[in-house]
Amino acid sequence: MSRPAFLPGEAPAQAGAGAPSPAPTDGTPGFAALWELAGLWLLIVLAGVLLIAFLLLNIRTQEEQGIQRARLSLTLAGLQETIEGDLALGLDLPDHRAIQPKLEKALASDRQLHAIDVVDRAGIALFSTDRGTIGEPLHARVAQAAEAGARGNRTWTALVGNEAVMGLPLHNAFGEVVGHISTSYAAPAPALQWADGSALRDKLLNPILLTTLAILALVVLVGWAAARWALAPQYRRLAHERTGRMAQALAQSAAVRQRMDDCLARLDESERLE
Amino acid sequence: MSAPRRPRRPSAALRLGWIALALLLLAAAVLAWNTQEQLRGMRQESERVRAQLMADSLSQRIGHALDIGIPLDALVGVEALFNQRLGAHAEIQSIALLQGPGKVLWFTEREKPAREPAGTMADAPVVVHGEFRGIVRLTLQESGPGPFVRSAAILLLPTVLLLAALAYLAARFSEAQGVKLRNHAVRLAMRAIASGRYDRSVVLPHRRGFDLRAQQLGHAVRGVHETLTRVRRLISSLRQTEPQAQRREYLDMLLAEAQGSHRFAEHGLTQVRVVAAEAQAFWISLLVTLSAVALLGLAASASNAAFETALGRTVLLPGLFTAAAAVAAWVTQGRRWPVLSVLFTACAGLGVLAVLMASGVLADQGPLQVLAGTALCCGALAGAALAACTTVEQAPRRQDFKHAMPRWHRATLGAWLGVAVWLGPALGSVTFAALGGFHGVLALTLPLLCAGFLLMRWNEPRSPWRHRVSAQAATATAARDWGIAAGIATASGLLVAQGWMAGTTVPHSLADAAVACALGVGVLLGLLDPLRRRRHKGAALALAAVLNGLVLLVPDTAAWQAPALAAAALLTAYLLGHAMASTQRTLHLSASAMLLGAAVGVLLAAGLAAVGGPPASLGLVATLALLASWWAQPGVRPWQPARRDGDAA
Repeated sequence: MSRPAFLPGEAPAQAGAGAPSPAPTDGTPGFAALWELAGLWLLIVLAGVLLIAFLLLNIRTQEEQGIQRARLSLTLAGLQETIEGDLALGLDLPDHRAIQPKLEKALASDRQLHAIDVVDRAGIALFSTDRGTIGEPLHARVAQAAEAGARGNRTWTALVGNEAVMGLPLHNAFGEVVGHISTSYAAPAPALQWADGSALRDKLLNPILLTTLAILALVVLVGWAAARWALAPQYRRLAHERTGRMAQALAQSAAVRQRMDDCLARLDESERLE
Repeated sequence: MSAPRRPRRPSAALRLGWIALALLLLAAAVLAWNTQEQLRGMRQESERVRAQLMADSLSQRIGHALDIGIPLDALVGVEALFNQRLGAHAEIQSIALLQGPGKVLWFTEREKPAREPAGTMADAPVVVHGEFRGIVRLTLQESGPGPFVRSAAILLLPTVLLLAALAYLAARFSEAQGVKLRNHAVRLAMRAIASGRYDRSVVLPHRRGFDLRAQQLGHAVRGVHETLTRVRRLISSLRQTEPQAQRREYLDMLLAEAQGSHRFAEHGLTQVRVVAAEAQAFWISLLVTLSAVALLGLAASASNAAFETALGRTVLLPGLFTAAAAVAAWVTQGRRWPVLSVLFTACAGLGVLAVLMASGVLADQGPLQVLAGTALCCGALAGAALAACTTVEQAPRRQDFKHAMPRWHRATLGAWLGVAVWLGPALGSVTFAALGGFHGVLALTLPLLCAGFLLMRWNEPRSPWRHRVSAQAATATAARDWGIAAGIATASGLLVAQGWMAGTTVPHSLADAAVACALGVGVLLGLLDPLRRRRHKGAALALAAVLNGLVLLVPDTAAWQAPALAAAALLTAYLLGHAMASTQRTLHLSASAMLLGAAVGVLLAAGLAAVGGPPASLGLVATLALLASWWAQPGVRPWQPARRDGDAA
């Protein structure tokens, strides 16, 4: 129940009685004060460190892919050179029966490769280490990449599920693109694909992530100290204010209240005398 | 003579901003070094294998020739073969054919800088029928960490700057609605007591147990008021029953003595609520717009192939976004919906859109339709949120509210501009590069969650957030005011288009990233720390026009073109931010009108792009628009006396 503003005959309340307790006087900000100033700031910095870590993980994944592609492109370039040499002698690509054993020999020499195919300009497989695919068209995404590679006369790559496909255009004696030689291999897992249990363990034991965890802990510690440093001028100001203007304002209001209390006392006195 | 400037107090937000920059740079450097160390071993092993494979291939070709009976030293075309390999594989430094140790028969080498160290070397013996004939020696170029450092720097430096800016803004917002709000309320209360005013008490919306100064002072004032009320009631009661006139005069004298020369309330105390409405509106507007623009930026990065042309990137997405924002802001103002309903709907709508994008439901549609729909949806929700936040920003004009100090001029519109020019597109692009489509979209809902949490905390009785959206009082009826606003809004649209072009290419080009960062930092600096003197602004505008003109004249190949472009963008954006902040008091236009002007600016940018104008031309036109706006303001013409207005206060 709230206290009424005025009760007849009640003794005047003391100034400051029931007032909120004053601010901490030890001059050091507590957790709530630090969190109020630097909570959002700290969350953003921590999220930023994670974002930087994932950016670098992606750069690393791309480098790994580049290294893998560079190595596999040697095998393909060797086969391309051999086949184009034969085509320059006048052999037609579909009739060149010696291609099949060369593909199988190349496949046997590299365990990373899943299959090697030779396709015509329309994307139909002419020779393949996977015999079942001969006569089959390329996957739509791969066909699109192959067409772009043929236009730019460069190595092309495409991703189909968990398998990457890399290819090179094949030219005849007149420099026209008559087909492609392509190979498929297991694509490196993206940085954030953690579905597999063993992959998850590998990712968690990754030195980058371990370093990131250490940096996150460091950021929390430094952030705590930084927030205290940032709040230091405010607490100096509070200490100065507590003995200066604040105390003066409270004293002024207490004096006014005292004056009124004196008035009440004089009223009581005069009533008593009457 | 002007009064000497007071030294600035150290700002906690600025300290935290610098520390955030240092921490993020340190984290980026350590993690990049760690990654480089991991990649070095992998790269060396790969190069060794590649060198060996290439050397083996050459030795087999030479072995075939020897197999048909040609002596090694009589081979023809070896040099052509070596040159063909050098041409096919750019990483080969040299190839040599040796007959026994030390006797070089053929040697072909690529030109290289004198001090470059030798790379990986591989030897492959030439063997015919089991008999050793010679050695093919192949050397690769030293790859080094250069490409990795370059690609990491292109990605990490703009990201660090972006995150440090966000961290600084968060600290500034926290400081404004915490420490500075309480300091200002205490200052108001102490000033009132010092001047003898006990007729009002200063109230803060949230009580903080660690700092109860305002509550202490309010309690002291209430105590005085309550005691006076007791004195008044007692004297009034005695006076009514007192038959002697002399005695009644004595009672009046006692009351007059008690009151003294101070001012007291006749009835109840007036409560003045000090609110950090501008800082809060800034932060909510920033969070909602950040999610909206970043989602759009991420969608654009994910389907970059569909919009290869500069025109598509310049016009379609920012144009649709801004136009939808203008229409939604206008509708929201007209319907006068409750502020909190609008903001919760915007957060929920953007969250649903993010979930739809992550689930792949939209993947069946064409990329053009998806992007256009995303731009319209994000723009509409961001525009409605902007109109709602603008209402909150203006709520303290009511008698029972008071603004926290220092003021945040044009808080919501400034936040919208900073996000649309830099923070949004860059964050969307970087998030896609780091987390990919699925996780990136989900990560971009975090600002929405933060905004929803804060709005729930601020949803309390007598909060400025419990109003209905209203259009600002349209006092800008003079043609001159419309001219000033048109210049600023058009410049905003032009820089939004330029920022979008530069920001969505952050992972690809350091020059573009520098321009995007310069635009964003400039706008934020202009908004938060504007120039004080008008004549300085005139000189800065002239300098910006000259700098933008020079950038257009410099050929693309010049080495200092990129720094000059970034400097011109920084200055132009700073002047735009300053123009927006400095017209806070003199120019009162609704959010929808400003957004409409910005949409016109994007359209102008489209026209410039369509006629083949380079992105730097947008900066020049924006500077000219700002110059025209500045010229239209009163008190800047040389033949008119300078007018003192209240801006400097």
